[in-house]
Amino acid sequence: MPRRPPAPTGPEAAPEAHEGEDGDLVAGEPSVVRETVRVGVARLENLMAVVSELVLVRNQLLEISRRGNDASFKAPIQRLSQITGELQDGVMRTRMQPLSGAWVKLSRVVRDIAKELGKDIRIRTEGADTEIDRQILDVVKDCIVHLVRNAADHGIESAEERTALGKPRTGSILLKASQQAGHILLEVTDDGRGIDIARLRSRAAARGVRSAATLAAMNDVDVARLIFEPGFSTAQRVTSLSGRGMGLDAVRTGIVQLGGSADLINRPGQGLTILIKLPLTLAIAPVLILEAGGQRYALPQIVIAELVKAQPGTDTRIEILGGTPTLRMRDTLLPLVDLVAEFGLDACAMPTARLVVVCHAGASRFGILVDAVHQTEETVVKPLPSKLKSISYFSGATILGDGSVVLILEASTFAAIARVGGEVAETPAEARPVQRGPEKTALLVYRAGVGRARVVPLPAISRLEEFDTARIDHTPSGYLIQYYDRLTRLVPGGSGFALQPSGEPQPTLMFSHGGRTVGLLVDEVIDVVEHVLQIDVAVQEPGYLGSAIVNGEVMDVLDVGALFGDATDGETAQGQGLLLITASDFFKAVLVPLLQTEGYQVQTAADVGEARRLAQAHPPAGVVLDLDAAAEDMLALAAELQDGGLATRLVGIATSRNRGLVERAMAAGLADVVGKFDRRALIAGLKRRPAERELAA
Amino acid sequence: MMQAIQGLAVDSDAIPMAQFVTLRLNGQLAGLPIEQVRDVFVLKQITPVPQADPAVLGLVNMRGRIIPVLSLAVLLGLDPGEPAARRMAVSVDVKGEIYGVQIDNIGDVLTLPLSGSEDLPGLVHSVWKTHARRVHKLDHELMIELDLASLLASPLTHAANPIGENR
Repeated sequence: MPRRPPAPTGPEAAPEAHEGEDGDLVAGEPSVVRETVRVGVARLENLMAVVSELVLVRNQLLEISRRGNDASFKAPIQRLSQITGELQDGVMRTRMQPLSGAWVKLSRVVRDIAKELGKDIRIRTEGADTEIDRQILDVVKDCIVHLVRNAADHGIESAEERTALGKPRTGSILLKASQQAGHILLEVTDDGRGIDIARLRSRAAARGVRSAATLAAMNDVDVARLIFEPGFSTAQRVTSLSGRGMGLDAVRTGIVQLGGSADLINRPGQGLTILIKLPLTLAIAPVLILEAGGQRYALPQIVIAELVKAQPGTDTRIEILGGTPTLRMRDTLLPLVDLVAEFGLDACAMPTARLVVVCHAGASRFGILVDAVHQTEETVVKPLPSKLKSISYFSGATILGDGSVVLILEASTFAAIARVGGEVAETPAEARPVQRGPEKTALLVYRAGVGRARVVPLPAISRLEEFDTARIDHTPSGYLIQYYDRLTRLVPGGSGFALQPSGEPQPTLMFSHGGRTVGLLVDEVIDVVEHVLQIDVAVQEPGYLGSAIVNGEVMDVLDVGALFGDATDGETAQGQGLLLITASDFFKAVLVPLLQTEGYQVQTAADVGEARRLAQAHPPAGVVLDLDAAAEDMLALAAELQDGGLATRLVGIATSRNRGLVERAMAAGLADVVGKFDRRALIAGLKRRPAERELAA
Repeated sequence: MMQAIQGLAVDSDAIPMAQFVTLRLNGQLAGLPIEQVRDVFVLKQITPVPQADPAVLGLVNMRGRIIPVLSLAVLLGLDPGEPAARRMAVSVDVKGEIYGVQIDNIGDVLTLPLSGSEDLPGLVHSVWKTHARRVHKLDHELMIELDLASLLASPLTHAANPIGENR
């Protein structure tokens, strides 16, 4: 740690280096023109306001030129537009300051805490020269100090504890900033203890942050995100910088008010990373124009994750859950806010085919139901008149290119309305593998009984539950529980397993297969990791597919099929080759572990040519074809493989099973065409004998 | 679309005079002191604000400024009636913030002697009374002088809170 706080590296500091202590210039050299000027902030703000107005006028001109047909106007207006953009960019840059301004005092903060608590902590920074709008910097400063304080105080263990754990004596905090497309990403990472999910769950239940049932259904990632919620703040708000244990909710609130978002990556026992996403500037925000009930609204693009069209009968549809619309998308559930209903715009019937804007505000994800989505615009955000400030639906208003006023939706309010937190097994969009190469799979790491940690592919799990041990019956034939009015078998997750002491929640992984549900009793759920699943079958134990190396540790991979024992129809897929043909990495990530847990040795091909080569080299027992793209080529390949005797069991998967497609697939000899997420139908289709197919067809 | 009324010459006789923008509300003649009125303009393209007070008609773009437009009738607790085909509004500056106040029947600007006015009699409807300054005696009828600044400075009765009360 440096003895003194690092010298400021702001714009004022740099030019001073040209001159000596006494300001003398070296004789004979032409006098050095100072390369910076000091400009009052007020003057810059003024300039920015003028540029903002210019942007509006530019937008109006663009709108007029879009409508009109006068070609002689178009070229100069395009040029004007471009120059305005450059000017806006330039003025914005002059308002920017390096983030280092926010963390000059951090090393002292950390040193003070370290001394006070008897810890050994080192802080490192990366990307200190990343620049950000000074208005944002002012707010973010306090947030960064708080996050670092939090990491030093709650994250990093004492030196003794660290030594006992085999960690380096000195704890480290890494503060990293980087500029990404249109926003700034800030990361505060510590190598401390991370979040103890089990403890957090029980604390959340005790404090009534969520109901026990909701908590049980939430995955660990979502549970960890609860630390951003108000219920967990124990003391003061942001005002008191000296107060320890104050809520991260205050930090999150500050960030969200700036139009940013906060998230975290928890590595229990190894540390915690808080991720903060911030807009580059507050003055001009790219927004998406939405329409609901005949009115237009603007939504800041920074909160938008994706746009989806919900249609009945597809895997993206709206279902009514307890009277409120819920988006069912790719097997996840997302709470929805219907703008029309919320604003009382129109008493329309429950929506069926509608557009959903999927948003993330802070740590929560939810959807906003709208009638239409229009263009995106760069807008100058204006505050609401004071008489309307109490309406928390809106963060401001803006004037569009056509001169009309639209209200800007406040995402955090809609998140609160959607009561987010109950969504299940959602993989964040960012985490979805997009790169080619070995497929990564979301794996749930758990511990049960004696022996090493075990893993199970996350998509195989239907729910995570925490049962009251008093509800579990211990019968001679095993553990049983009344689960949704049905007696359900609970299987100990490993030898030497014992139920949690009474009163403690019993973590249980629930699996559903063929209409039956089985629970796996475990001691604790450790983590969810993204990892390449490579199963080594050499050291196979009963009930396990084999072992795999996950994060450098050897772990046993649960055989989900074995859990159901006699549920499988005697036929085992053990070791059978299976070829999955899909260009979508996402579906590979979902299907490969599923098929692996069924015992198949899965090979994947991205296109027909690759599939043909693989099938010729190793004729597979079964083939799964993705019919969403190039369906004709896929079906031709299917016929070719069957004619060549290279494969006998073929199943197509498709997002929507329209009749024509199914008929053509049947004609090509496929056993079935199933929905992309209908794992039961897929497995059943693969197990169906060809003779049965003849009969069924 | 906007006509400025400012800058009309005031008679500088010995008698103190005042100018008023006149309007009719539910048949009652009323006057707004001209120094409170910045502009008179035709209302076009109002953006409604969901869940706002009923008095708030919406937001309009006034020369690049976003201002709220309120209904004078609703503010006074009167029946707003059917909206007129051509909706007019005046803009008012209250402590640096500009408001639009929608008024359907805007009449002439009157120059009246201050001596022709007196305090409001106690019989008038209470809302009128709170925001009325004086009553002016015209030849044919009486005109209530309204204090728009006081009317707009008082808080709106209803404020929507989407998370707090309804859920």
